[in-house]
Amino acid sequence: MSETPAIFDVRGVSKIYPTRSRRGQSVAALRDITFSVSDGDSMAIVGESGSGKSTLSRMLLALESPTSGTVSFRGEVVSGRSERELRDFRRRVQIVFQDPLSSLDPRMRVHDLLAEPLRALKIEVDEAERVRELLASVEMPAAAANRYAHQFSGGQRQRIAIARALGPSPDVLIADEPVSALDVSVRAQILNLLSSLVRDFHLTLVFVSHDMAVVRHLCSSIVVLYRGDLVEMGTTEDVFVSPREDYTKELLAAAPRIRAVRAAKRVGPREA
Amino acid sequence: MPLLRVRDLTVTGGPLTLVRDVNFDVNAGERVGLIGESGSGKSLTSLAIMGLLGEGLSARGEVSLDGENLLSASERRRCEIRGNRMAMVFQEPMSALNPTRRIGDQVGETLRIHQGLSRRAARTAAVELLRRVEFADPERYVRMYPHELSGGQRQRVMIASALSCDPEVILADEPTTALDVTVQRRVLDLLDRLVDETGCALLLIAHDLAVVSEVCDRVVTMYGGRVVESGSVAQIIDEPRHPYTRALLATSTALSVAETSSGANLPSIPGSVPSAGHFPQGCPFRDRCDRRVDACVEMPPTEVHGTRSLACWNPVDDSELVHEEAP
Amino acid sequence: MTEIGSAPLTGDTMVGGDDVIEDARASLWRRWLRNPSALIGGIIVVLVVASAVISLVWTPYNPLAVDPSHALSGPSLRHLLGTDEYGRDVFSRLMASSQVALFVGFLSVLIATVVGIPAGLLAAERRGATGQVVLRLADILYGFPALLAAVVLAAAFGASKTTVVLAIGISYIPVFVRVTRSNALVVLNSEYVLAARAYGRRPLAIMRRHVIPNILTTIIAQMSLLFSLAVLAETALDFLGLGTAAPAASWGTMLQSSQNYLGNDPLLTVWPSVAIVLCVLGFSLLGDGISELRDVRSSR
Repeated sequence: MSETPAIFDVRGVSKIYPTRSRRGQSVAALRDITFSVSDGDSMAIVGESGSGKSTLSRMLLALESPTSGTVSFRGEVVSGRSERELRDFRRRVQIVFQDPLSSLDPRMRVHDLLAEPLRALKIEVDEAERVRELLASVEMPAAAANRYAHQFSGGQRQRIAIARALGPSPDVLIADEPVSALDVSVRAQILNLLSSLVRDFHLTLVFVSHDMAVVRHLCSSIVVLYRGDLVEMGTTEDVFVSPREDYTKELLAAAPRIRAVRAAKRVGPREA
Repeated sequence: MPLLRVRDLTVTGGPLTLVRDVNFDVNAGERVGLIGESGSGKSLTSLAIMGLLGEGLSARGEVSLDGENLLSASERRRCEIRGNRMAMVFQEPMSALNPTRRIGDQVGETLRIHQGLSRRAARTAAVELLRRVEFADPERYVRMYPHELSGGQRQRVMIASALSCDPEVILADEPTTALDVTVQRRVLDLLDRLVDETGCALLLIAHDLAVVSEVCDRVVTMYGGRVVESGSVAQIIDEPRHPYTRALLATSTALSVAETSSGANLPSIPGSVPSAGHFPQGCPFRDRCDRRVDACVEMPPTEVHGTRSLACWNPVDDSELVHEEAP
Repeated sequence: MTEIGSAPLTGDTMVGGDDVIEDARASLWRRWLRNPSALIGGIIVVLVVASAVISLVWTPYNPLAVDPSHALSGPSLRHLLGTDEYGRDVFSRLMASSQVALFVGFLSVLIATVVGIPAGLLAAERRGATGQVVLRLADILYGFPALLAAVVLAAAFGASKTTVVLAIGISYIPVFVRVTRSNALVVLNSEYVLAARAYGRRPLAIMRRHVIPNILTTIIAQMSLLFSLAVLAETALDFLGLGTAAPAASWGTMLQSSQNYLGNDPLLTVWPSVAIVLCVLGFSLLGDGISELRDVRSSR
């Protein structure tokens, strides 16, 4: 191994949920997952519902503990640590969720939404000043601070959620399906924003998605999960150009693309 | 005569005009994609066609099915048509299905209403319908409840229910938006196959031009409650004339698995869709448009050339289109 | 679904930030005035509270003053609603009774909330053994109705307002445990709480900053509804002689003693009944109204 520890080191992680069914079997959300994310990397974790990708992202955030295996951040195991020990980790790793409307408290003004992480982590800054700065960094006007989340469009809400994550100046941004709930045109805006923020703030990015198309522009490497197993891992170009696993191929083939399929099928029936 | 004829359809809610002077046709057996961002008025248009506008919203103009204007028809007449000759598939099947009723009863319900089938006959028909939408063991699924199904299965149930009375046209409002990619593919292929088999017409409402381009014959682009451009899929994706259509196309193309990564910024549309009633006077897109000219303060007239229509003072011209393909 | 409802605000419309907040307050007011339950309930509650407060310093007559010469005189200009069997002024006694009703209602709801809300929050936060114990305890209390509790307490400590308050208060604890827990669970399972945990907020701070503000209106609506039920229970207990001791005035005791004169003066039964119905209706309408007003702001 290299001398500088990876940002994230996931070693043999499994997560088994006991079920209460009469048969008493348990459900494995993740099985023996091993990968690492190095400093400055942008890694995509791709998988569909039931792939275990959300469980994995919660483990990276130390909000859930693996049943076996370890998750380390800069060489230190984070799973199972007390919140007191995680204080520094909480500042360094931030998350953006899929649905900004449900990840922003409906009863808080944007100012409070953005100031909350600063207060929780006891970061000493001029709150108003920092909020203005954060809004500016996601290209939102300062007047937004006095409003509530529901007064904004989906794309603007996601900008607010991103601003909140940037508040504590994290090293790592975990983005859990941040554009899936958005229109295609807004998706592009948010992806552009994320990519410029990653560049400007030297963030390490972990981008969780079910859609191969959206990770392509943002991520340098890809991990593919299928029903709790890590089925493929590699650089983005390798995975796109020569996917090894059938499932990866299916994911790539399934994505809709611009093509006039029908025009090829039947020619000029319109006059009839 | 077109099967479905929409003329000067205008939807108002209180003082706000949400959809204005929308015109398009859907011919028998034809598939038309209605695209635009959230807030463009496309969902309202489809609800107005179905006669399902919510409280406080009203529609005027003309929506004709086979020459019969539905907007002036009685509610009773519309009920006879809804689900029977015109069926709808919604984006969120979980909320469109009744959680307390078995799948079989819900799929068969339309048949009981419109064809007076008995409970038992409807259930038998439901089994057949589920088989058509590729349920391997339909006898088992008819007895299940919506929460026992996956998102993709629920959407197939919705499609089965829409197909039950052999409608002449199906309206599908973002039917695959909430689904995973591989599930989306399966549902799209299924919809494609069934629409082909039954020969019914399809009005597909979507924000993703890629989905529309794969399934439809023709595209209608909406922005700010108006139709800004329409044409065949090939015309629209090869030579979009309206700057808004072009921008949507550029975004969809860039955000596709087929596109190689550039590292450069993805093309996007600056700003965001204003709230209803806050679109600028004249061309609704002019604030976000890179081809804006002085004339845009007036709403451009809709010019129709053959199969195409366009409402723009400064449309994208051919020289630029050629230029587009170069990089 | 309707795009009008979820209309987003954008660039050009986003200038003055402060008038938006003014708007939010003004619209809450306007919605209050436009909601019939909230409006009518609110007016009745204000009237009941006003009569209780005024009766502390002034009533037309002393509600306890006996005047045998004017016993059972019907409504007149001197005695607006007439007098009872001892010649006491009915209107004054109704006013004084509203004190009792509000006192019992207020204290029993207070007991129920002071115990029930924290217990509900605890049960929501600790979903393991602790939560289960809290819920089972609530179930046991729930199976023990207010009337029965009052009979037991009255037998043990004698009938008094305190026994009524305790009986009603304790029997409503489980309601608050359940309402608080189920609403708190929704908030605790939300992504904004997950986000707060991810930036290091501890459970207590999450309760204070996210859970309580988001469940507050529901709780207040519930308090208003239970207040009305408490008033009803209080009159029932007084009627049965398990609460307020004679000669002190309460709607329940008034109703009870009027029975004997139903033939002579049926109006004596009508007045306290009307007071009870109005008060109960007022608080439950207010409760309904508040829950209808709730979250228009966040419901999208």
